[in-house]
Amino acid sequence: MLSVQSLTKKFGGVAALAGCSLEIPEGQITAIIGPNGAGKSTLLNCIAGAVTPDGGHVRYLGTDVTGAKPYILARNRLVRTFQISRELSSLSLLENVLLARQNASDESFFDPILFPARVRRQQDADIDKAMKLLVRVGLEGLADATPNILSGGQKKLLELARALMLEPRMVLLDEPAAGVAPPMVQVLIGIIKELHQEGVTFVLVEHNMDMVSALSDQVCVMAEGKDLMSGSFEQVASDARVVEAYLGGVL
Amino acid sequence: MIAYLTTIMTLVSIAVLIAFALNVQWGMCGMVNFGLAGFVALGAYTTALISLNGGGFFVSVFAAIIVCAVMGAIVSLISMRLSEDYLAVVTLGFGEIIRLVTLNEGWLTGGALGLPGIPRPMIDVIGTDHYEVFFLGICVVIVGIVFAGLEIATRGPFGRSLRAVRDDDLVASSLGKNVLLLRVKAFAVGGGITGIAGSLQAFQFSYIDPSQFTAIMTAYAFMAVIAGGQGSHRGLILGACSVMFLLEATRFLKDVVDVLDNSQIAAIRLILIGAGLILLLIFRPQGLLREYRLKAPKSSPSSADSTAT
Repeated sequence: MLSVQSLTKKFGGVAALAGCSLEIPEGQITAIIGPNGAGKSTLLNCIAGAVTPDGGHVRYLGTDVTGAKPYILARNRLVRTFQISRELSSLSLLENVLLARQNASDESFFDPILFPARVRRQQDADIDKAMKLLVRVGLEGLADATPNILSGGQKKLLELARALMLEPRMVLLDEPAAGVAPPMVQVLIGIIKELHQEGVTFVLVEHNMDMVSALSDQVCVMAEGKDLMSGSFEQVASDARVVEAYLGGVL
Repeated sequence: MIAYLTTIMTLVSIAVLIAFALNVQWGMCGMVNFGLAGFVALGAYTTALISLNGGGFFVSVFAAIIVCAVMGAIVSLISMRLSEDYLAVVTLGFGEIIRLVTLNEGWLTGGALGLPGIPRPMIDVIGTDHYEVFFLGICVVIVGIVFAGLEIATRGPFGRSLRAVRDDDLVASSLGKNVLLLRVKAFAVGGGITGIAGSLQAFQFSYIDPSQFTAIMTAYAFMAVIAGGQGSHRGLILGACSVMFLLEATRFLKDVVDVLDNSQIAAIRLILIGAGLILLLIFRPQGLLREYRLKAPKSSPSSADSTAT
């Protein structure tokens, strides 16, 4: 569904990605793990269009999307969340979710003036959908609040709800468990599992091994900007190269 | 006194329109525009040139809207590749270019002498006696139309997208919003509104010259938007009125305090306005009114489902 071929990206003199290749199969949860500085977040940013890679290719649904703008990917139902939650701070929770609806009139100044009934009808339907998503992540009581009052875990849930509003085929999750209290991690795992059963493909960059082992069908290990190996969680956990990558060959 | 009040209210209407433009560009979309006076001048000169050459009221206002909207789009497009802070420099530069062109291209703009004799709309029908009141009426109606249009357009999806771009453009883009297009549109809409303001200014004075379009015009718009609350069209009407009230009410200081001479009063007026704004920012940093936020429907969707089935 998504394939990454020998992607490279340098920041100054440092090669964050040094020829990384990956295959993400449809309908699975693929976890990307690796020590700090392995290039996981850069890889995600390159796939999602936030960072333009120096070389290599990203193909999504058979099309080359290397360096495509994030909004193009989002309109093709590929959406990402952020490592540090980036909620829109002056929009209410409802508006945060509603923003992710896919509708061309979101960018039209004249539509609401010329076709008020149609715009209102669409918006009402979308509000209904957004409220259902907020109910699903348990934030419906805070729909009118702004995100600054949310806990770290609630912000992740809000990001997830926002991503779901897009009706995504593929969701890139950048450390969803980072800064989230353990009980909330279980809630997140539950919701991601449900969505997976509904057919959403996930890519998960994560350090929390409980989450990785609970969710992933396939685990890819990255080290020094390259893909090291991939396999099931058990295979990866027992592989000598992975242990070496994490511990720097000290043992 | 009536004539004085009428003139002041007409000028407030024009100031409110300029503030509307800034509110769309900066208040909602987060793009600073220090070249507002240049846009207003562009609108005023467009209107003046067309109506001096026989164009009617609607034609010249419409032309001013189009010219300023296109110019707004161009200014935002050329500065899009630069980092956002540079937009301040680009717009400042744009304002200066317009000022220099109006000052030096005498064949077109009359140079420092300006363009006199701009025909005021329907003056032969209304007559000169009550014309100022009639013109104020036109201004108020136009402000009303622009206000209603902006409220309708920006309370819905378009305004929400602009506010998302202001808060975090990467998130807005990740959620499928074409950020570049939204920014250009915000600047074009704002540009169009400054075009209207420029038209009204030209018709109000029936004479325009470069000295009417100074940086203080831009400063008043910023004051109105900051005082009123970034993003709130209602707030900025209040903000513009309070700034203008402070500005005009302090004129009468000299009648109350007779120990000061005129030049001292003039200086004190500006000090008082500054102090008023500072006090407002200390006690109400978010401005007088908050921007519009969509409210969640009262009935929860689950209960709506149960009633539907």
